[in-house]
Amino acid sequence: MKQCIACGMPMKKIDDYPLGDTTKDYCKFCARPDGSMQNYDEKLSSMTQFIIRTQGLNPGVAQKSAAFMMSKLPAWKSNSDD
Amino acid sequence: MNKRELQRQQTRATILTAADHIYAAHGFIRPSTQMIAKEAGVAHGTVFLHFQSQEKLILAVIEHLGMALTAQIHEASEPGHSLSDILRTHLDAIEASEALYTHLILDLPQLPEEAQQTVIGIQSVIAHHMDQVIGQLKKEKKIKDLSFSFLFTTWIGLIHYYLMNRRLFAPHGSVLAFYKDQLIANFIKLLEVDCK
Repeated sequence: MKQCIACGMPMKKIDDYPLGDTTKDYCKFCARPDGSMQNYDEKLSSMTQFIIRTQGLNPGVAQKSAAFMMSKLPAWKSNSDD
Repeated sequence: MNKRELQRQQTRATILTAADHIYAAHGFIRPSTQMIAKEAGVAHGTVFLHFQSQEKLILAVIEHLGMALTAQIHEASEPGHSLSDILRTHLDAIEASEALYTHLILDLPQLPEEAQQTVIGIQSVIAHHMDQVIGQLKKEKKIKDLSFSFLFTTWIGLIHYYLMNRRLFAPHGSVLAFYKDQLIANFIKLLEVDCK
């Protein structure tokens, strides 16, 4: 079972892959409508919005947390400030 | 991997396990690195060879906890799971490391910012799975029309209240082992639309 390189979610079934393409290393939540992977800014924005919508956090705190989570994932390690 | 590297990794893992036990028993603030070195059976200086500071050791333990919790939640979550199944998955994952997780929540205001961000990361994973089910239940008008963030923070607040006050609810054991079924059943009752 693969794990999405961009958000960490395990990809257990075909439906988890972008457009059902199991050769991809990222999941459908990290893909654009054409199936290509979102870039860093797009993913940071979508993850920040997800945290605000689901946990109700302050936008600045949510963005900092999203950046922290992304810094631990293979797709974004090079973008980390660490 | 050569023998030296293997030994280095084993020592690091031993220190992490020892720190995990000490922090689970005493919290993150009071224990010294000397206590952890003694528990691990290594020289005090060895702790700092692997973790440059006490703060880095604490963050490594918290990161390890976060990874274990999120992996367990992801692994146990399946398509078609009910809200009750997902809430149970969340509590089962916390229960597996209940003492350490409780100290993390209790000590959070005094810990580095990264600890808070790890907690938000754990919550994002359970929020992702809850969001899928709650969205469907809302469409079917089976639960009340409240914002997801309100439902989610109510659930987290409820769980954390019981954990943080464990001495009041379960002084001699696991709060979740005792209250898990009640918490899940009553939280769902609060959300359900009254059809009468």
